[in-house]
Amino acid sequence: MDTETIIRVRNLTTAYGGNVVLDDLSFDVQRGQTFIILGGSGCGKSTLMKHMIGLYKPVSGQILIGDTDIVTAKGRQRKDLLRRFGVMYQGGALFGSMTVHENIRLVLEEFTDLSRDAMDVICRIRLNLVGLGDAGQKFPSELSGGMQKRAAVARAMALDPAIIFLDEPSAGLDPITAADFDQLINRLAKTLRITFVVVTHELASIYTIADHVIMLDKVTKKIIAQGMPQDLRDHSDNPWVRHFFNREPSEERKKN
Amino acid sequence: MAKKADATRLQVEEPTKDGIRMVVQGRLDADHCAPMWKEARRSLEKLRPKTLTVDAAGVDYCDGAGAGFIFNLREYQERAQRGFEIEGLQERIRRLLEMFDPGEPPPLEPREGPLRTGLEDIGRGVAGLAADALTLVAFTGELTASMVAVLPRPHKLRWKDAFLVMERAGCDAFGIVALVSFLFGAILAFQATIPMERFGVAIYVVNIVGIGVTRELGPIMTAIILAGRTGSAFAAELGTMKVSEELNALDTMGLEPVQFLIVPRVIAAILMMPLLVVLSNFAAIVGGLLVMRSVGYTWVTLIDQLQGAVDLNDLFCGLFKSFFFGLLVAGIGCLRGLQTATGAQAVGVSATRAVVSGIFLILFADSVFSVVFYTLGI
Ligand SMILES: Nc1ncnc2c1ncn2[C@@H]1O[C@H](COP(=O)(O)OP(=O)(O)OP(=O)(O)O)[C@@H](O)[C@H]1O
Ligand SMILES: [Mg+2]
Repeated sequence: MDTETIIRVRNLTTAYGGNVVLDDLSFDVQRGQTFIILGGSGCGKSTLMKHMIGLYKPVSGQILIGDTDIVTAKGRQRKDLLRRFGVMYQGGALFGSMTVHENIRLVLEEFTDLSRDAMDVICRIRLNLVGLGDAGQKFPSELSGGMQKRAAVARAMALDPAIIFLDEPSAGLDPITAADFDQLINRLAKTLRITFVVVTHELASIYTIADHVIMLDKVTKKIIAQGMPQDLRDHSDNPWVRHFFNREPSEERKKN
Repeated sequence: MAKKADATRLQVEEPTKDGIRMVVQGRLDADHCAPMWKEARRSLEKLRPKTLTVDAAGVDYCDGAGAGFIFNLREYQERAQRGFEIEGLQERIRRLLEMFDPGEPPPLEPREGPLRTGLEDIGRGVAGLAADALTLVAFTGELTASMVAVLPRPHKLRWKDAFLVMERAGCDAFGIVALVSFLFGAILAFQATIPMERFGVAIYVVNIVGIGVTRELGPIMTAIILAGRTGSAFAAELGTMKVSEELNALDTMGLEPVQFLIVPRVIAAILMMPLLVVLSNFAAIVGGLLVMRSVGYTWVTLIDQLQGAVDLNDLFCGLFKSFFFGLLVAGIGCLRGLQTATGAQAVGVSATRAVVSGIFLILFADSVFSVVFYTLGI
């Protein structure tokens, strides 16, 4: 398949106040790729994702989606970019005052001029995809933690986005549901060439879905490794990366 | 992408006796589907075909919205108990449609008659009120028990929280209480002077203002301000904690929410209320007397009249009530906070309920006090 770069991050530096979290990152995401962001807790994975979707402004650097820099995009241009994104936040962020169904329909109402029952069918398709076919009329507060996650993913997919960002989608899911989920990602990526940018810690899931992995480091605030997960596990010259993939404690790193 | 978009179209062929054929080709996504969707539904509604055959051989891209389009046509036909067929699907698209199956449509909700729901609402409302009254009694008991339990061990109380609440509920309210009371006293005096002057007894306005304010209006006004400022704040604070499961965390850590969060707040409110009421009385009487002064009475006459009219008994009646008002407003604010349902707007609902119930309880308690004081001859 021909490759086509869909996201280009160049020299991205981000900070909260004066606290630099990510320092001078550059990487590419190809269209149709499932791109995994890895790293220890608190190293800035969610931060990187929030910058990629244009939620926060970086200190410096560019984030090109296609040809448009989301950092500087404004108004109509920005809205067109956002329409191509589906985002699932780490906390789910469903709107508590609406049913799950209405949560999904909201974006459809905003961006398309489909009729009401057209939207309803599309919502049901999304919910069925994530295995929540019978929970549409429930409010988010009536769902379990894992169900909220899945509902949030269904909402992220509402508009058939070209790029779907998922922040820890499988945390809190049972192994079977998580595996179903991985399969869903693979199928969507293959059949529709949807690009996934996923933050996850689930090693099993990484091996099944990843096309490319980058690993962030909390200390240097840079990418310390990237490639296919199997290669990183077996051949990385950084012991911490090998520990990560082999689920080993980090004594060696502390000694160094 | 753009060159394929031109090729996306829907063509409805001449109806035959068996039904109609629709030829769909091109790209089925949300943008391209929307107009096709309308057209297809229009012809289905007009022609009511026995069977609808969709020729999808020319579809070369289909996403969730496109699948929605196809399934919607199928469901429309099935609901009308007519036939639906799709043919010529490319293998890739067929697999995609399989993946995007929306499942069974949800059953239509049964409609209820307006009369029944109306009656039902009344019934539920009454039952809800009764249940609410019961909770209130139970909560009062729990709160009292917790407060009594603190008495022998005052160091157990979280004084830091209590002082913070005193500052926010008490000191920060001085300005608004003084202003509202001053204006209220002035208005009362002004309105009373006009008719009383006709009978030449305008000096008795001092009695009206003095007794009315110290016994009733001062405590009530202050309590209502407290309900609006502090009762609602308590409900919102505790409500937010409830929503973010902080209350559950307290519970599992073995800390009683009532003891830990509510007792300091209630004690702070009870201690601040009398102070605020004294301030309110003072400001209202000053406002009233200023108006009287401007009508022509001298300060000496006015003060003399006031001393004759109001005695300590009146003042203590008002202060005694104010303790209870403080307790009620703070207690109901906290209770509404604890009762918060889940979701963001639930916190707003709790704050509103805290103010409404607070004001109701103040007036209810005040009427009880009136009867009791009257019977006891105080
Ligand atoms: N809104 C914020 N304001 C200030 N600092 C923040 C903010 N959000 C995150 N941080 C800091 O930025 C760093 C990276 O946070 P981030 O949420 O990106 O971590 P993460 O890699 O997603 O961690 P996790 O795996 O636990 O979700 C952390 O040190 C955190 O303290
Ligand atoms: Mg995170």
